[in-house]
Amino acid sequence: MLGKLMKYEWKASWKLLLPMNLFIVVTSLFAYVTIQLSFFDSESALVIMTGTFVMMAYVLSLIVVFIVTMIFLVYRAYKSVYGDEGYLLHTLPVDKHHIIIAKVVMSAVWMLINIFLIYSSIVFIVSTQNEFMENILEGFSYYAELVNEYGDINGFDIFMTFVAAFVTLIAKILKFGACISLGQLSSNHKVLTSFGFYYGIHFVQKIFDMLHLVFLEVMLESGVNTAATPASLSVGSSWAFDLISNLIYCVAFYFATWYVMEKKLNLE
Amino acid sequence: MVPVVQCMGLTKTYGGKLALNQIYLNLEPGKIIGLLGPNGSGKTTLIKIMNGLLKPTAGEILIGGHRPGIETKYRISYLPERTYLHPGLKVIEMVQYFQDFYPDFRTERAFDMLHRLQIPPNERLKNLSKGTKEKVQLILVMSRDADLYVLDEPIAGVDPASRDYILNTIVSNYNRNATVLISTHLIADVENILDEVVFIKYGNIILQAPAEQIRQREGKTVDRFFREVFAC
Repeated sequence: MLGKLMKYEWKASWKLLLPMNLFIVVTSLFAYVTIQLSFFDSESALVIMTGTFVMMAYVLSLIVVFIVTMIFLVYRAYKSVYGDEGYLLHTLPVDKHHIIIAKVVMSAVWMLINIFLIYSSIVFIVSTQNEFMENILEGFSYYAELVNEYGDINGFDIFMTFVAAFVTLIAKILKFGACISLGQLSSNHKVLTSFGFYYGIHFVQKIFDMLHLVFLEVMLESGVNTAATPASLSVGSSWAFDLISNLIYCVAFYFATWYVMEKKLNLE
Repeated sequence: MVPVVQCMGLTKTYGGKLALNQIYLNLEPGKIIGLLGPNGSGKTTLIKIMNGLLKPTAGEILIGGHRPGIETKYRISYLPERTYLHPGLKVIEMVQYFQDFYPDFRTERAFDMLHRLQIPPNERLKNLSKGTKEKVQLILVMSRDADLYVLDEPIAGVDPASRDYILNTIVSNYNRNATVLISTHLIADVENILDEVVFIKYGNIILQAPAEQIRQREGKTVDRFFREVFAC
């Protein structure tokens, strides 16, 4: 049943999200051509204006597509689970766990496609600017030198940083699901309550982040951990904190969503 | 014989407002039952609790001896009073959807009914009128071989000319061992197909009796009797 739920989740979203994300590719190509043809070195005001327009459209497309993808996924989750379509979804003979997993997996797929396209597009465009690219590479090598001066950051740390980033993405998706679900506990102001939960949870998360920074600062200043260098402590502690905290968030948000769907469902 | 539906002290309140008041109700298999009451009497609330879309405040409901859950969803074919189909999908995709999730779904039956009602399978739902969407939903629901069909206002949104066809569809397509529960306030239209009626008023079951018994005892149609009982 999980596979079937994911299939229909994809069917319900690809018609909007796929063309929209492909739009990033199109605007990137236009921006690339504009740069390659040196529109900004032209003496014609019209050509410069066209170049400016294309670059503005490119930057806007990245921002708009990212925001619209997010809004669509949240809106779709709300509408298909607690809106009219929820009458069908919740009368299917499927486990609530499968409903949550299907939605989270498909949302993660779309967010990863979106993030990958945006990053790839930026790298693609920036790579056309040799001078700019050189500055960036110089910056990276300077950072690498700085890090090496302090000590050891290995491939494991880098890999775990990516793992932590992925878990953070899942936690963010589950956070939206949990807030929408918890909002359903209100009898009159469901959407408003969802926003309330979102900002309340966000506030608590920020306090934990600050406590982590304070802890890190104290560790670095007191030199408590002699085995760890400042750099490894900073990077290692950073992914470890992100990974552990977001795994806890994932579990909490997942079960909050499941609890409302299984025990407190009220499609009024 | 285990009742198809058993309500035991079923109560539901919305923010302090009583929607169902300690209902005790047994529905037997093999009957077409009308759940009749005016707007706001608690019909839809009762139906939603049967389908697990609402949780009761107190009491218990059993469907074929089970609490609402995955097991009961295999057995109930539910038509809500609203459009629940994804507007971006085609009619044929919704047929495949039901086929994918319900093992008792009969695809040929669905296509046959779509053909008879001249509903194009390749049309997107968003391009169909409200009445046609309701017909599509009814076709999907009646194409299952379920133990219990729960139809919430199945004829309210369709034109009178189509009502006879829809009622005929209900009568001719349901499994004879199954129960059909029809919630409506358009009693005159459904009266002829009902075996039993349940009157509900302000969240209380005030009558449960065979339709024929009411006609003989009261000397009037169920519709006329209903109008007297629920007169404002």
